[in-house]
Amino acid sequence: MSDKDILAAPPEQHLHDLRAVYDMGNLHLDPTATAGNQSWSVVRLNPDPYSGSETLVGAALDAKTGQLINAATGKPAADSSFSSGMIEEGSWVLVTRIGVPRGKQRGRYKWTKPLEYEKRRLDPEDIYRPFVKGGTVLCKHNPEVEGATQFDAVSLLPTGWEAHVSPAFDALKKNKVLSRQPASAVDKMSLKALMANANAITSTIAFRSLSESGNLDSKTVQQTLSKATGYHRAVLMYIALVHAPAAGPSTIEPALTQAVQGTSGPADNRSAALAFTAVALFHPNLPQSRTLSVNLLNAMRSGSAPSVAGQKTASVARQKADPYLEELLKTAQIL
Amino acid sequence: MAVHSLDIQINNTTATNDDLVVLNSTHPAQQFNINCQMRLQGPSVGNVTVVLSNPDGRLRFPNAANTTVNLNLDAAGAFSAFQISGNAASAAMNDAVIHIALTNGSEITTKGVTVVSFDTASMQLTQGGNYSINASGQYAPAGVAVSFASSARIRPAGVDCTTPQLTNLRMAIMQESSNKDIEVTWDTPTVSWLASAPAGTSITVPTSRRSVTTYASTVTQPVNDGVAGAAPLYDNAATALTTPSGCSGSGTAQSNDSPFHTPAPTTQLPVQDGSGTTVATVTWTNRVNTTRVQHFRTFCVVYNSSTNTAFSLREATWDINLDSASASPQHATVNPDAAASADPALGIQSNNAPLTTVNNAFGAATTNFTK
Repeated sequence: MSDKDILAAPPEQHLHDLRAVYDMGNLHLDPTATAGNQSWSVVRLNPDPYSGSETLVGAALDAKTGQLINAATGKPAADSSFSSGMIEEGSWVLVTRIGVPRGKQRGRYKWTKPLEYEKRRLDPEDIYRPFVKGGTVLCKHNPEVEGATQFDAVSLLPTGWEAHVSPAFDALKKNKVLSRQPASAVDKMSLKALMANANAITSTIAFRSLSESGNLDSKTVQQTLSKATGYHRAVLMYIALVHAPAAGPSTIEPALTQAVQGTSGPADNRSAALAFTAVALFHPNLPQSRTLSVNLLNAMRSGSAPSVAGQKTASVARQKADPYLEELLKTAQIL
Repeated sequence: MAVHSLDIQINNTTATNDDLVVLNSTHPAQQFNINCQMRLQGPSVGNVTVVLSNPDGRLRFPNAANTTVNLNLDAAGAFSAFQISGNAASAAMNDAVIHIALTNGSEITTKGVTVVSFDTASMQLTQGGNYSINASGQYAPAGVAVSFASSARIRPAGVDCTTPQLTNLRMAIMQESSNKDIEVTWDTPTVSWLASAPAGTSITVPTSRRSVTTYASTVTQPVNDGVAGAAPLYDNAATALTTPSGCSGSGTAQSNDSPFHTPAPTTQLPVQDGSGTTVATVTWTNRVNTTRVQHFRTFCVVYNSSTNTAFSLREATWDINLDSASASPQHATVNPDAAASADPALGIQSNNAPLTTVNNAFGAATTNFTK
């Protein structure tokens, strides 16, 4: 794992990366689970230019008159007789198929999803739609079926993480503790060892298992974050915030503050901002974690060190403005 | 002449700090009856009928017409039940006095009760940021569209907020929505011909299309509005549920609203020839604008977390009338609060209310394409 992928991300990729951090932080893999002919696969999506268009389902225009007709009957139809939807279409290329290497290596996708015109909460899908904007996804894939059921359990991968998928499945098969809640001291020891695994996905799953079961203290979080870089660091910070113990995020605040204070460059800033923005955007139901995230983003923005009760704080060195970071702060409405 | 001693229990307890009843609400019309009981104490030669009345008019027994109630008290000392409701607010503790008399008018005793009410209620709205289409495609405000602050004071002073009648009461916020109209207009059609379409094929399409989304005709407006899982409230987060002023730990219930939508950047339809064969796909590639009109009424309410019911004290309205193509800043407009004038809408939440979207040709202009 290195910083090069996150540093190579152009500013406009920040939305892709927010979705990817969210998806990796919430990734649940069961290597033994199969649904029909769906295999866990890594697939690269290449949307058509107008994927994401609104349309009327089942409607067409009459070539001569330009009037709306029922596509099935060819007869004139009232506009209100059709429901509206969003077209998602494009092509896919297989990168990796877990366990079943044969089968189609490329193909097309096309479906129309119902429009959602009234929402109170921003979902990751609102921020970035892989079937509209593209990307490399980990999913359960059955290339033999048409429509949206071809893809299931879709998670957007951060740049460079496609190489981690196959080894992560091997690790999951070998280490059953990754697929269950830690029940014993041995489980916790095993997960702590796996947390240091060089594979970002394996490490992430172990970190989340310990975090959501309340088995990570601030010191361990801090030590783990200090060794993580790039998108991996972003995902771990996101998990730490979302799965903060029920007592509140104060227990991990020192670790995160230390991580922000100790940022050594643009890559660390980007990963921290990705994590905090993802929490601020997608978890309004976690007000304490959200507030902490917004405070840390504000601290990053102002260049001041976030304060930690009982600690002296060093000033975060102001660095040259990073357009990627500026876009993240804008998305989190910090600017 | 017989001398009677009575055991009178408001809220069916011997405690006196719970000798209170919450004032009937107007929106919605609701009374908060309190179960009470009374019995003879000491020997009695027979059952005794007593008449309960409340000359100060603050109480009813319990319905509006019940200004008095007769109770037949058991000679053996069994309790007889009655109910009270709050008809007018108390100015001081225990100033709603129940008079208990024999049927001949001879008064036996009195019992002071308190009718709890709320004053200095406020539903403050604060305008938020301007709308724009952001990087991820939402037409959304910078920050929030409107901030809410709901507060009131419990009266009279000295009332015990930990009593069963009051311990579950919170200041909260309700909201309703109506007249929603979200529109998106596109122009600049482009054509993508199918390979199978013969050269020379000609099509005519509208130059502009407009999508219009409104509540479905089946939806009764106004519609209850709030975050998922909060119904009937707008928001059930801890910051939006506070104890009223005059109670320990009191605060202002706060929340905000940021209605947003995601207008598609393009719209697309297939084109069929006279035989029903698709010959092309037309995409209107330029989103001219998106507009949104919606009316909201936001209520300062007292919410009972035990019964999941609320009544309104104040209300304030606000509107959005937005156009993404406008040169002037687009934001919500808020109005001062006023006395509650209507029952807050219940039922389906706005976010779950069925919508109708129609995507029409807009204007008469057409564009021709020939392969």
